[in-house]
Amino acid sequence: MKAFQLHDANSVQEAVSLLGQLGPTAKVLGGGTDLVGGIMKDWVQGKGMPLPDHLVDLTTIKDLNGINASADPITIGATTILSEIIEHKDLQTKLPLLTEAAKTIASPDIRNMGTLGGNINQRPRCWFFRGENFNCYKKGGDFCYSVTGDNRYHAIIGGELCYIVHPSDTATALLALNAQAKVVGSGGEKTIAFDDYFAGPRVDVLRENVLKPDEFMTHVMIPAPAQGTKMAWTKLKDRLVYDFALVSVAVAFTMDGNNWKDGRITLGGVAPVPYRAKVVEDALKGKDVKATIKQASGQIKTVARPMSNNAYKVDLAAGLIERTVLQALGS
Amino acid sequence: NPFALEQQIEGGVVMAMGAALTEEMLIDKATGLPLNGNLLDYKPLSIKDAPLADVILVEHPKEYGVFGAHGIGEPPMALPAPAIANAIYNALGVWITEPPFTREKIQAALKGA
Repeated sequence: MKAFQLHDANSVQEAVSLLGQLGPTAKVLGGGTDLVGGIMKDWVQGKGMPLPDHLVDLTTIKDLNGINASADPITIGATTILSEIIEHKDLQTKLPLLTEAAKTIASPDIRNMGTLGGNINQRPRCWFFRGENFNCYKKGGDFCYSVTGDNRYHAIIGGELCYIVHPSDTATALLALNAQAKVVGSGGEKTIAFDDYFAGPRVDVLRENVLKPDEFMTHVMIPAPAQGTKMAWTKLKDRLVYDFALVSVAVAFTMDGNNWKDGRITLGGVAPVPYRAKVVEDALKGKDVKATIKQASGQIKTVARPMSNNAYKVDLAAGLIERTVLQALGS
Repeated sequence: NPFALEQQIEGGVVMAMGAALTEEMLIDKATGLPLNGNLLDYKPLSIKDAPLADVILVEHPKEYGVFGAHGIGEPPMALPAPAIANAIYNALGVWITEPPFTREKIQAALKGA
């Protein structure tokens, strides 16, 4: 591993000024499960993605850690450990979609070290991106190896120039919950809706979100869900634990009798950003959910553009959307 | 040593099931480089996937060899893949003949059938 300097920040202002002083090779550190244990250990780097020389530890900032579930919006600090989110009784009652999604992340060891902010902002798993010898666009290179290579785990929607899938389960769930991110940087503090937080490859192939190099996420705010909101989470994997999603579905919606009133269906593992399946939501609006869901979830096939090896994901997505919505009704 | 014997069989069953279901060493065809040279992308069965094997020992000494002893490290590897392939045929009516028996192969076989 390349040697680096670790800086403990004691406040948000200190972290911001450290990032400003240290420049673009400084990165913020949460649990480090992927930044240190993955990216840096495996030398994932390129012309547009230098390995960090400095890490600014955000877990030493008290303000960034904590859950306030009695406020509206429910506020979770970005360095809150995933296991704490899973075990928080109020969150389990109010936002079961988030706690269920967090439960399916990796393994208990990783959930005990990983932070919410780290999980949302993690880098993708594409084996060309992660491969030392593949100089791909996302690292500042000039080629995408997945187009002609083995793309069985790559995007079926929204891939262009780069075909990664967004790896974060909490990001998918939080998008379904219409969350917002509080972000600070040298330009000050701002709030960004999750709808606008993630960036596809055409916006900037070097990043998966709109954060500038000197900015970081401090809190996630989730509006308290309306009374009677149905929620469910499913994550399809090759193995029962550890794996990232082949396809994952998060739903959060309200009903009007038997009909879909309002809500969101989001998919992970299919697109470079957590994907909001508006085409399925539109097919359900005002209709009887149980009667329409099969036809509505089939609509995902109209927006999917599978690559040479990943057409299987399209059928999986349609089936999983149906299963997840019905699961939410059952609850 | 019956305990070691049972462990060998259980271990062989788990290894072979992994080879039949999820394990595959993938090489990028253009460059010849491995794609999944780590234990996340190369998928041995996780603790929740590996079944508890019920081992029943039938003792029948070999007619030849030292004390009639059998080797046990390799034989358990042979059986799980065909057993699973047979189970897939029994459930779906399609033969998948190339391990690992992935979703893509099953989907393709069902569509082709």
